[in-house]
Amino acid sequence: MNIDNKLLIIHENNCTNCRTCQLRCSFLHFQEFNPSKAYILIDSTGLFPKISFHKDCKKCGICIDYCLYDVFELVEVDNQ
Amino acid sequence: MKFFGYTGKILKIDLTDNEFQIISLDENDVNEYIGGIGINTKLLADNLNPNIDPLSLDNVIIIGTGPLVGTIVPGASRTVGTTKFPASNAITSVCGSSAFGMNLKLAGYDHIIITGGSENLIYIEISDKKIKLHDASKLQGKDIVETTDYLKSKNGDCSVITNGTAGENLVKFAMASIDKVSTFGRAGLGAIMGSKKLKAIVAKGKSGVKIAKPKQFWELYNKLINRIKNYSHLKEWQKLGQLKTAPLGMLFAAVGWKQKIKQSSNRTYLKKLKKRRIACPSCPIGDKDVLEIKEGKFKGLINYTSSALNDFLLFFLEDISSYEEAVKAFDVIDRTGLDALTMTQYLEFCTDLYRKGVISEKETGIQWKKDFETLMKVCKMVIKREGFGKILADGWKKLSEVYNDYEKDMLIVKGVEQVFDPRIMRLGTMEFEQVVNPKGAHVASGGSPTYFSPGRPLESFKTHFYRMGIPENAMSRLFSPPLPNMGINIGRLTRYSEDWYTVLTSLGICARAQINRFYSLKLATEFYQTVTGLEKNEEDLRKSAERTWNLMKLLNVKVGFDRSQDKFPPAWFKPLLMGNAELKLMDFYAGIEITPEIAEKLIDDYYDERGWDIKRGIPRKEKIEELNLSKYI
Ligand code: SF4
Ligand code: SF4
Repeated sequence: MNIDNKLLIIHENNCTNCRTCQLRCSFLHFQEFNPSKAYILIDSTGLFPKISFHKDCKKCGICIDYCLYDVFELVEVDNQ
Repeated sequence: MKFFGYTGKILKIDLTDNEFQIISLDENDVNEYIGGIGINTKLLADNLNPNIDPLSLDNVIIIGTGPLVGTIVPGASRTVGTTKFPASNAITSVCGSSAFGMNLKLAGYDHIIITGGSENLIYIEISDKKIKLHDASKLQGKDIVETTDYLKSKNGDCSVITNGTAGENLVKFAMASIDKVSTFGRAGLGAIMGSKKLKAIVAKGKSGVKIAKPKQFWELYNKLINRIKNYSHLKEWQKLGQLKTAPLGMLFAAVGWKQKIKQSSNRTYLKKLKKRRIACPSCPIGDKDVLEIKEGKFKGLINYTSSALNDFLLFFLEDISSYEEAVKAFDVIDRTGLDALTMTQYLEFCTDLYRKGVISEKETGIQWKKDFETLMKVCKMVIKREGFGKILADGWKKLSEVYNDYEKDMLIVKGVEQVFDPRIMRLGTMEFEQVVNPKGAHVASGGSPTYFSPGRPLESFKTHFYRMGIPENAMSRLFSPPLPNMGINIGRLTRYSEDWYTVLTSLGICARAQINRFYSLKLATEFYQTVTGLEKNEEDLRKSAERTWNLMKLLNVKVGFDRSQDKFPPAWFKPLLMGNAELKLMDFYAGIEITPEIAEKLIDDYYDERGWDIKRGIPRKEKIEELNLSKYI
């Protein structure tokens, strides 16, 4: 995913499955706390969580701002 | 009434007749008991005959959560289980976390009431689409990890409460577990599930949680989360979890156990064991652990634990000296639903009896030692209820009947072994509360700033007392201990530790120190107001906590709990020998030795602060009327 021309690197192994990103996303877009409506998807069935984004994700980046576990890193990319 | 925060629904499940009933949440109960532990206690009081056998089908299990759970409020993830427990016979609540509370809300319920029992092994599926009892014969004999993994693979994103084989076989102190990482129900919730042939409960759903005042809510939230982000120890907590504060190395050094210092060090944890951390929903600390043994005879073992600290506590057994053995043993205990504290105390106690010649190898089938092999053998015989294991499976009460002369050496309160030995950490509220709580020795409800290192100026305690919502008019009493140098009256303070715990656990906020420290009664009340839209003030929450605690006590009075059982274990008054050190029972503040007389005075003061009858240790009539509890006498 690109946000403001920055490349998003995801460190899945740091994810604790705290769902804060999903709770924040679902509230912003649907005015309720509901992980099943979040555009960020956390699959926690394996030993480490798998993180992906729904195709309708608005790229607002708020999920990234609210994660406290250093899962997301935004890196500048040169568009040229 | 339209609720915010709450789902407004309670699900009643009768396992005998396979019947379900959906009940509306009573507005009056919300007013008087808030939610979580409060409404759980009220529902149990209305549904249980106190004088039943906890392992009979007449017992009732209430599982519930609080109005803040399912929102983003940091650390609001508590699940409360309330029932009558077989190891203690007490009617009380236990807490767990992980994602069950959130999933129960997403399924559309605040509380569930489980009555009766099934003929065949079943599990319950609770979702916003359906409620169903499923056949669980396939899961018979499966451990907690196997059962949880199976049910998660079938149900996708969900939360699972299950018991292990210890619970299935009615080991009286067997626990249940939530999502493999959160223990749930010391003193026998797992066994109660076993007696009902209930293997597991699965909750899942897509019904979102709505709040009443979003604008004010986000203002509060953003302020709090910034405070948490700026907390100077946050990263260290996230890195080490509970190991951050546990003085294991210091204790082992005092005893002269050099190898154990290294084996339980942060370096061993980080380099050799840590796989990943797991957080409960909305928790900024994330202190659950997934460990992996990377070398040696247990190579490849993955252990899910509520903290690596719990694994390392097994080093207190004299002859467990390698981290591989500690983690392997803890994994066996945790998967089967045994209780690590019970099993270690059994090994301590029985090995001492063996060395004294009171029990023999012939009688017990064991050459007792405080080591890994013995621990594994004993776990097996307890789970299978074989031979001597049958006595142990029936808990300390049974053991004290059989070895009555040695009851005085047991480190137990009301049939449950101590969690905190005050001879090690001195007598703070956590240690003291084990004595006066009807449920006996447990964690959590006695938390207060007395876990600070001693010697802090008394003024610094005051800040925390205000934070916990202790009323101004109690302050002078709190600073009047039995002897002037003791600084703080632990007996009186314990009443407010319990009330603060009850406020947090009614709302659904985790009471562990690392979360609780960010909250005050004021902030908790403001979150409650913005989430639910209900105009409750701090005094209302304080009162509701007091009502809940008194109702819980009244239920236990009916079972026979009164002052005669609120006793310090006699062994606490003898020195604890650790290596060359002789540790005595000291007050937490000034290091004054606690005599039996001081202990009795602290118990008097606890009852007095609760407004209870000091002689009998039970609520007075006036208190019962003031709290509107007369119908429960
Ligand atoms: S970027 Fe925005 S819309 Fe997309 S998942 Fe994150 S919060 Fe949701
Ligand atoms: S907020 Fe971060 S740690 Fe929590 S679930 Fe989302 S990505 Fe994982």
